[in-house]
Amino acid sequence: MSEVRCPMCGKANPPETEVCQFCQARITPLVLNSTSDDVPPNPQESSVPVHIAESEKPDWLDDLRQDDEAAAEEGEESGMPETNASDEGSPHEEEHPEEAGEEGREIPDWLAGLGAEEKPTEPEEGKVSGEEEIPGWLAEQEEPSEELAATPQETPFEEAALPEWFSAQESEEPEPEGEPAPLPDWLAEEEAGIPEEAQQEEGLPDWLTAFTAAEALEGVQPEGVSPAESEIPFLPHEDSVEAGTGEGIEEGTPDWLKELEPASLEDQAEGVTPALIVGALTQETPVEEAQEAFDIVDLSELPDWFTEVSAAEKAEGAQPEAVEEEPALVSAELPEWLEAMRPVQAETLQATIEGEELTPEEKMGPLVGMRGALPSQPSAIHYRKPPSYSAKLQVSETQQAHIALLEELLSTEGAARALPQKAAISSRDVIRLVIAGVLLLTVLLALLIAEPRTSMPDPQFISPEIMDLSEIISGVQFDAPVLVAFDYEPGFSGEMDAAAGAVIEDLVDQGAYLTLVSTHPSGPLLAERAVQMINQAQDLEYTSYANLGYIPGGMTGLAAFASNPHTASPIDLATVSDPSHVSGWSEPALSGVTDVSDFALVVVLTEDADTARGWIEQVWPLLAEKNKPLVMVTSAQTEAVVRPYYESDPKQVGGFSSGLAGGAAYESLVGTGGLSGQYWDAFSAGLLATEVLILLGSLVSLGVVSTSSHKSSKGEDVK
Amino acid sequence: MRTPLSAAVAIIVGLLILAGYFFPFGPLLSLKNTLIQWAMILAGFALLVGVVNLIKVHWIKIRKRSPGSIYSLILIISLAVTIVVAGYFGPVASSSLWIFNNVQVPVETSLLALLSVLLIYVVVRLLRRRPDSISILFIATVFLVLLGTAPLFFIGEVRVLTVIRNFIVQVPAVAGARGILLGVALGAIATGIRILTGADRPYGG
Amino acid sequence: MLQNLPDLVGMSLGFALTVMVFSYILGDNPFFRFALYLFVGVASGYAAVLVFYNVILYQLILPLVDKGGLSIVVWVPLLAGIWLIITKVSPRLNRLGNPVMAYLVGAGAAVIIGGAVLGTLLPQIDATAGLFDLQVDVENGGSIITTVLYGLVILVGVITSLAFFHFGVRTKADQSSPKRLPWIESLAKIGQIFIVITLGAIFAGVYLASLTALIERVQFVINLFLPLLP
Repeated sequence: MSEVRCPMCGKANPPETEVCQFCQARITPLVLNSTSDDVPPNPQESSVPVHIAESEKPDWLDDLRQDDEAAAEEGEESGMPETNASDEGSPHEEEHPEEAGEEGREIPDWLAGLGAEEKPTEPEEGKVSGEEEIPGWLAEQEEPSEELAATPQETPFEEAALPEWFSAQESEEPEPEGEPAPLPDWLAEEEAGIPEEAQQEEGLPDWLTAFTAAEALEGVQPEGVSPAESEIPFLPHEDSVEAGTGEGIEEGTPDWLKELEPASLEDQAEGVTPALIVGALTQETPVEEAQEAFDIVDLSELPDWFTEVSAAEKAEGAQPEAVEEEPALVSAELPEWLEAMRPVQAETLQATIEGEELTPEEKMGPLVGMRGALPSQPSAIHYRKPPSYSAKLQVSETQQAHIALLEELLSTEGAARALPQKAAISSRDVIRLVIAGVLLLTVLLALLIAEPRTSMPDPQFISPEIMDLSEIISGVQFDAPVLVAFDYEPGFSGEMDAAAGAVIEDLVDQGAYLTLVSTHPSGPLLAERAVQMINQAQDLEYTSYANLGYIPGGMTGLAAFASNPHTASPIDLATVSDPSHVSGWSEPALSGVTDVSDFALVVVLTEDADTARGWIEQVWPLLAEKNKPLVMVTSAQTEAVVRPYYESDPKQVGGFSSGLAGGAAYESLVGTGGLSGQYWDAFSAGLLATEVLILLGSLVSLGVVSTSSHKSSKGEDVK
Repeated sequence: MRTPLSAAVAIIVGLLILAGYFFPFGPLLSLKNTLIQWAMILAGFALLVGVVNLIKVHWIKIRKRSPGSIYSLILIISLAVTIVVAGYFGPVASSSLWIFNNVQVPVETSLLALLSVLLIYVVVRLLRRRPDSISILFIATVFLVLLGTAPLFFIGEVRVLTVIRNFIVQVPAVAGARGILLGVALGAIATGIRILTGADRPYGG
Repeated sequence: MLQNLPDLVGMSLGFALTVMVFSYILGDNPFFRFALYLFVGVASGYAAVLVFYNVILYQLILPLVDKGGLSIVVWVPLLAGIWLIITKVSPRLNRLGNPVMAYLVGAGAAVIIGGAVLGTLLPQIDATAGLFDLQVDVENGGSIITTVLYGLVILVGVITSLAFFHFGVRTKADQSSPKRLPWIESLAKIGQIFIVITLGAIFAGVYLASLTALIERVQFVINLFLPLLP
């Protein structure tokens, strides 16, 4: 790996860097040796409390406690300020045994002085009371410190010479329990320097609180070390380390302390991680870190008492598991001041902190035995396999039920449903057959009757529109161009032949020049058929007509024809079949026709109301200019729509006849015979049969409906 | 293609023709007549398009042998025969008329004749489906009009029935028909204005 | 009657087709469909031939030939018509034919508007107002009372029928669905009566037409088989 990851923030850094470029944490671990160039232990690190298990507590510390207890009994007060009640960094462990070793086997004054201070009675959650908590290794050693206090003379530290500063602290009287001991100056300054933030951290162990306090103190003094660091006598100060004069630290800085690496203070000033994290930076195991932490100081320069302790420790084993073994320590009586410094509240806090029991206990390193400690390595650099999530879709029971329902619906979607079996002959078919049979039989019988039984319409009671029609047609002059539009479908040819036959015959009889045209594609054929029928009926060879063919476009074509018939219909269809035939446009009758108003009469044969309306709207305005009549022969279904045009003033439709009845009335009026007369009996009989069927059927339906409604109302009453 | 071109063509042409309707003089009138003439010709081409499309649809059905393709084959054959005969001999030649008289007229007339059975069935079932006053009024109108149209067989003409029938047809039916005609005219005007203003574009523009 | 073989064959064909169509009374069947498709093919063929002769040949090709091909009045519709056929037959080019369709629609709309105004709207309104022209009716021999009475009925019928087709509604807060104004609703109910009577009269006319067609078909069959009867 070319890059090194910072143990604090987890970001990548070049391999050569010692300090993280992002968070300024120490990347390369500090290696302390016994030479003067060694950097003293990091005071910051030292401020981090370290939780040491009972089994890890060295014997010398026990001896110290015994000495302290003895000093406490003697009423000695320690001016030693209260350090963090919880654990501290390993250098403290080194320092204290070293000091003890230097001072001999007497209970060190500093230790004795510590016990004189009042121990806090109530835990202050997350609050640093301005007093730095005692190191963890010291805090945990309740009994050993008591023993030390009780039997200071039995400690191996008696033979070591206490530094003057430590001796000065011995003179401090331990305060009675319950009364706060007067804070030393350096501790008071600490209290002032520690910002409230650090004091108000809640839920944190004291050692951590001390660590944050120390960091906060760094912020107060960006240049150098925090006042707490500077005042802590056993902590090396940057200046004192550099200058070797002990400036930052008051008089009495032990030489061994001076020899400790000053660079660590610089790192502290920049916010270097404590020692326990320093060990992590070297990517060593926690076991190795602990071992390394303990091996920072060259044993050759350590006081004798420390040497004995380290030997004892080695004898116990360097493995952290060995720490779990409970050494046979004799509980010492701690002096009161030391007792006060115990992190009893912290322990209580730790016990009362919810869920803390669930956190794992540290098994190695300076924080052995503590719970809730921050991991030595930031979680960011804990490279572990990401959790694998199940690819299986989690479906609830309700969703499964919906899925099953949808699947069932979809499965039946493509499958053809079985049609309900219907009867071979239903009531509908029966009724239809009956109606068809009655009608066919009636018409057939009526047609087969030789003599007519139904009288034709009385000319006296003929409708005025038919009379007007007859009058107009009778007014057509010989060889007058009469435009006849065959605008009906071939299906209505039966009715229209009967209705218009007499009219066309009348026109032919008048000698009019019929100009046949149509807006329907089948119109020209119907027109030709009508002429052939007339020729057949009257045994004529009528040729005075022109079949102009088909006008496309509906109303648009009508408008075009009305404005210029010759341009709109230049062809005479007879010339197509017979090229020798003279076109109707060449005939004298049509030579003067420039627009539709030049026709003497316009006769429209239609079954469609829209077609009738189109002829009236497009052609009548031009005809009205020259007062030319427009008449119609329509199907019976168009009578209601055409009549309003007839009853207008001026009449848009001069006259009209509708249906077989109109044709019969016209025939009766003009006194001619035609298809209407032939169909009249059958028409009358068919109408009678129809009326009977409608009457009977309606009465039956009414009866059925009333019966069913009566039954349903009865059923509701029963309910 | 949805472009302003189609709408512009429709609007311009429509406005010119409409102007020729209300100001029928001078070049405006001749322009209107020319434009209408062109429209009539294009309408003929549109009918040809319909026939070609009909052939295309049924040809595809025959090629794919889809259900009912035999009927499509009959349609194509009859269409081809008619075009050949009427195109060669002429639309109103005797051979063309023979096909018209013996195929188209019988089929269409029979379809209309079949309608009479169905119409009576509808009237008979009307009261069962919708037994209300409107249905009764409708059936009564139909009954009275039919009753007075022609003399009753074996009975003869009943004058009262004829008078009633004439009144129904000449007064209330005319009133309703006139209302319908006015409504249709107004609707046609509204539709035309919508087209000429581009609000409606049935031509796909 | 039957003069020659073609007539006999034709009438036989007509009779067969008539029976095929009447077989629909028993339900849909292949004979009925055969007759129907045959009729559609024949009708479409005639339409195509007539358009060719009436429009293309005699209004475009022959005039173009007569004028030596120099007639913009002919070229424009000819080219536009060919373009219409090409674009509308092909699905890909369908949209390119929209301008031509737009021309047809625009021209048709103008024609409809002109005809509706000049041919129906103004004359029919005038006719409705002229119902009370007593002088005209007296000249025609009519009774004044009858004229006035008929005039009133027709006037009321026209107005109420128009009200029936009025679909402007208003929505109020306390109403679940939009409703017409009360007075329009009353007029519409009266107009509905007139419209029902009109539709009844039209229905009767349709039946009369179909009955006449039935009579004609039966007569055709009789004419066909009558000579065969002894």
